[in-house]
Amino acid sequence: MRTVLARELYEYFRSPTAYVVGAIYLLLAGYFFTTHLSAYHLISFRSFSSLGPPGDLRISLGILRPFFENLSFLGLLVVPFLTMRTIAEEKRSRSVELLFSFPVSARAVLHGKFLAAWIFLAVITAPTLFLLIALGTLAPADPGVVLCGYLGLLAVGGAYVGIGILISCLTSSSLVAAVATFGVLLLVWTIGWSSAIAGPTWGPLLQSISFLDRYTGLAQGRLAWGDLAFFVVTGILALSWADCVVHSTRWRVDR
Amino acid sequence: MIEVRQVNRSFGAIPAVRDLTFTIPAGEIAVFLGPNGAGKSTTLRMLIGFLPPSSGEIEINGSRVRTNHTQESALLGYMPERIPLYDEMRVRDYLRFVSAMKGIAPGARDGAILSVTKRCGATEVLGRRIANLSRGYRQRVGLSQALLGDPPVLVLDEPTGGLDPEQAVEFRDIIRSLRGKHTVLLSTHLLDEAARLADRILILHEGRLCANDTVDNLAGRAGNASSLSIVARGLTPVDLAAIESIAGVRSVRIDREGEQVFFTVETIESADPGAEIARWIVNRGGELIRLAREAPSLESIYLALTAGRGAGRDEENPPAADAVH
Repeated sequence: MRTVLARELYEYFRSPTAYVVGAIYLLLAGYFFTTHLSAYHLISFRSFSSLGPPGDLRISLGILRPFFENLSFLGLLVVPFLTMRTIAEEKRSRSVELLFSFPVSARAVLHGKFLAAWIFLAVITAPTLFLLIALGTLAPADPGVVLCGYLGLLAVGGAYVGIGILISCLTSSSLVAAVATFGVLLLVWTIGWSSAIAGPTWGPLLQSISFLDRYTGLAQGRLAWGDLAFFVVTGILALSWADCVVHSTRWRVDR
Repeated sequence: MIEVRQVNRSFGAIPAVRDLTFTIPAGEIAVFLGPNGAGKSTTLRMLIGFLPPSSGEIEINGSRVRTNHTQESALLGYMPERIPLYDEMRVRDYLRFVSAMKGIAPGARDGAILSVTKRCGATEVLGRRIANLSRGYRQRVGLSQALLGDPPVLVLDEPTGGLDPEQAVEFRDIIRSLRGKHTVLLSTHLLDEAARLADRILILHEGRLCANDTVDNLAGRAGNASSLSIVARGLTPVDLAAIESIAGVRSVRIDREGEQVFFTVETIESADPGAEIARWIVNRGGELIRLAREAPSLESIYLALTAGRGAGRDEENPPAADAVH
């Protein structure tokens, strides 16, 4: 697994696509942060100068929560680009045949690819910490909230990457893998929005599997182990499913 | 040693390999020969454990091959057709990656890489990016990765495919040098290549094994039917019917006609109508310049063994239901 991990990391860190994706991710993260900071500044100014209604001026609610929610949404946009090639490209180029002829299990290959994508996602997310350090020079941000937000980001990122790799196993086209991964992630992100019209039986169920609903608590510093476990289990299930897909593909592979 | 026992493999309702049984002794170079669609690649994929057989057993050096089983993979070096390498990597980095995947100890990797690239003539491209390699060097790197870890069994799928004649000759020399040290099973549809490389030839047609023997024994099995190559002068026009009426002649074919006539006479098994044909030429006032018996070629053996078995299916275009997606 370490060998696959090292090769995949090598691939990410030398790929211009990964750097472009990382740069856009950080630019958008900075843009959203600045927007929320400006909005918070405006609200707090109006509140103190009695120009508007008094609001909840906690930084964790006004800045950190939207910041982390936006980061997790941005993850939804970048992960399809990170995972689209993982297996689909190996299938397209038929290197998957050679890869599985080595004395390494399919599971080890999948885990190596998962870890590499996850680590790369963490690496491109890490510079966003500087935004919070800069914020700390203006107003103290609760370190617990920050820690909880990043822990949640790691967990939700793992679930995204697991789903992305699963979908990459289902096709030999990187483009199809990217589009399908984005579609599925967007669906699981927003599925809770349908809870109001889904009725009393299905509504809570939809909310319980909604990534947005699960992540909101973590984004505002409420460490809910159930939510963390949900993302971890989702990632594990997706990877296990990917392992099954790889095996079944080998049963059905074209001649 | 490779042992295949009653192996069948179907894709949906379509059988690709049927009741395949053969043994390749250690150290031999065996060549899988057959047209596209014969089941060569499917069999090789089953041998490396990528595809499981629908039924039957495959053993490599006594270990049964199963998919996703790492123990047997260590016994095998595999070079697929149209060798898929990671183009963005440098050759040395790629071979280090393969060494690690094959479990070679970190301290021994560079030595192993140097050893296999020397054998394959790829040392000079170790520092180059794979994307920039010529087809010939790609094949050499492909064979180098298969040889890493010194596996006792090598499976090579169309190893000289796409190479120019000079590169193909060099590559065959490399493969020939593996004889005795490795058991090699390679597939090809080039009869000439099979004749040059093989200790043993396995002819596959529509998923069935038609023959498994040495080239000499195959020639014997094809019967004593052979042909006479004749060059004569002063015979124009050639009376084909008259030659065909000579005892022992099966058919006559004019290869070239001019001042001299070149023709080939296919003879019936165990017959030798050469003397009679020579007499006939002289009696007609012609001049016999050359009369030689041609031994049966691998091509004629192959055609004899696969004759009447129907046209092969296109291996590269399986039914849509079988495709991966």
